[in-house]
Amino acid sequence: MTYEGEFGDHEDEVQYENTYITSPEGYGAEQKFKIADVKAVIEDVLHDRLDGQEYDPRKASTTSKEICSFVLERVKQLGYKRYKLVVEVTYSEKKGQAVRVGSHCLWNPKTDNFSSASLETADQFCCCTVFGLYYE
Amino acid sequence: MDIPAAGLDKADIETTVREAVGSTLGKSTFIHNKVDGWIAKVMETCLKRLAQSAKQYKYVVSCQIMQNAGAGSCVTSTYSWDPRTDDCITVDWQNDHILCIVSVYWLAV
Repeated sequence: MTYEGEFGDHEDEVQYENTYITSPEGYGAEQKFKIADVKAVIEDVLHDRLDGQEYDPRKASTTSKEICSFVLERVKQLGYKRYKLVVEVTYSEKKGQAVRVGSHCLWNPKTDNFSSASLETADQFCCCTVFGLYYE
Repeated sequence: MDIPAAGLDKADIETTVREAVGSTLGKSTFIHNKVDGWIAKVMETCLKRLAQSAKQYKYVVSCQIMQNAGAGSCVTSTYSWDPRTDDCITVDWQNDHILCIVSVYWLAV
């Protein structure tokens, strides 16, 4: 088992400051984190990347990093300008083991949300969760 | 609202997480109908401790419990945030029967 994390996106040097607009609707109705849209993106990336593939332990680390970064880029393209995003991917081989993934958050339930999707094939499964946290 | 200074103490959070997981799972074997309770307990313990710091952060705690069956597994995360104020830590813990991975993310308000 390996785990690796990637630190934040340093390509964007723009630094956002607080604007104190307390809800994303202040920027437009389309700016609120939409669970269904994000879920569709995650499912799309998972199917693109994993359909027809077998689990390869030598490439698993790269595959999970690619899924992470593809999902992050696609969710950013949905245009949530005032949201901080966290993407977490669990990618495992299937050997009959039981798995449970859960999360708890301390946030503002009116503005923040999450979306998740998973994909299972004959020899692998992948679960991806995107958390969107509004930055006032 | 000022940006929270100096973030959170990673070593402190890692200790909290390890204590929460160790006290919950200890030398347990994998018991299916207890897993939900274990996950909830670990995350609540971590969040309670984080909330006590009373700093201006939002927190996300993610916990995975897996049977230790020799399967290969990767947990990866990536983020789009302010690296001056936001950060994360991932702790993995295992015994002969259980693998537990806890990730804690903190993001400034």
